[in-house]
Amino acid sequence: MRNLFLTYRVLAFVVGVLLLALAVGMVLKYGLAEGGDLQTFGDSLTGIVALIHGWVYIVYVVVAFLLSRRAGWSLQFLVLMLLAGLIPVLIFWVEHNVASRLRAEHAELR
Amino acid sequence: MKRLIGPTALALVLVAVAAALGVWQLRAWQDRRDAEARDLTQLDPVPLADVMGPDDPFPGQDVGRPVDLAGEWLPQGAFYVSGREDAGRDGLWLVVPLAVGGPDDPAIPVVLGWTESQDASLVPSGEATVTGWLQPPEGNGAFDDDPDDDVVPQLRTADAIQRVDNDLYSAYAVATSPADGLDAATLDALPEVGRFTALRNLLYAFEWWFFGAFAAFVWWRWVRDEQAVREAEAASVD
Repeated sequence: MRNLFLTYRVLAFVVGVLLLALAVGMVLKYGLAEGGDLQTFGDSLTGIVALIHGWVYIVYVVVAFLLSRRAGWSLQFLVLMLLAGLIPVLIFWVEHNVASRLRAEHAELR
Repeated sequence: MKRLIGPTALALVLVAVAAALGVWQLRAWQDRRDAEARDLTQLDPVPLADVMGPDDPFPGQDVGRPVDLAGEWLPQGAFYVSGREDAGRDGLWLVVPLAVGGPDDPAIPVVLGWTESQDASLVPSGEATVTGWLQPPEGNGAFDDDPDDDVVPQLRTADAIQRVDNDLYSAYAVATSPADGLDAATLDALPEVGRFTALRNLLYAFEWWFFGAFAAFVWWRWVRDEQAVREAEAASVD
């Protein structure tokens, strides 16, 4: 349980950072005039980050599923955990919720 | 049984959507690889009008097809494209628009060949017939460090159109044989089409199928849990 919890937190952090990078890249790519240095940077950034995020997210999905089953949480909460990996910033809040809920339900993790 | 219907329908929709998106990405991957593998450059030349008209978008299936062009050079619209290599040497492409038909007809930029440095004496004028490989306009996002000179980093329609009064085709041609005083501009000098991009589509296809399979798996676990709960309820009633 402890290892799974730790894995989840690391993955949530990585996914969160990748999502932020993706959001910044999107703003640069679509928000700036085409052809500029920053716009080009945003274009290549989104391409690479989107690919990495997709595969890290797969691992995140598996770990989140295992954790929610082990903790005996509802399907709805799992859906929230999975959605958080797709919407920028949301995951940091969800990860915090998951951590406090786990600590409340499992004294040994405190 | 009734409470299974909603989640089961949802699971079916999710699996179907994920599978379809995966197939779509797989198709995109195959299409790109096919487009890359096809080499039209050795075919017999056809008149440009058979391939595209002046207002048409670039015909993607005709990349590299040799076309015959007849018309009049527009020497005042000549420019150079920087960063082109010839046997390892960095140099320029000389590009001159050719008005296809008469001098006021729509023009197509023609890459005449490779040169080490700018040389106005190389720019042709008058009527001409040229055979060239048809290419889509470039757009790799390169930045023009000096917009006032005659050197640009890429062959974009938007740059070329400022130099002539004619309309332009959404394409350019690379002369199959170079003009006097120039080296041949080879298609090898073009930026490579990214295999990475095609690979990305394949990886996305696998991602979608994984998510579809995962949705099916979660549904299956959920049904089993529901069944266990009901059996437990039934047992406690007894």
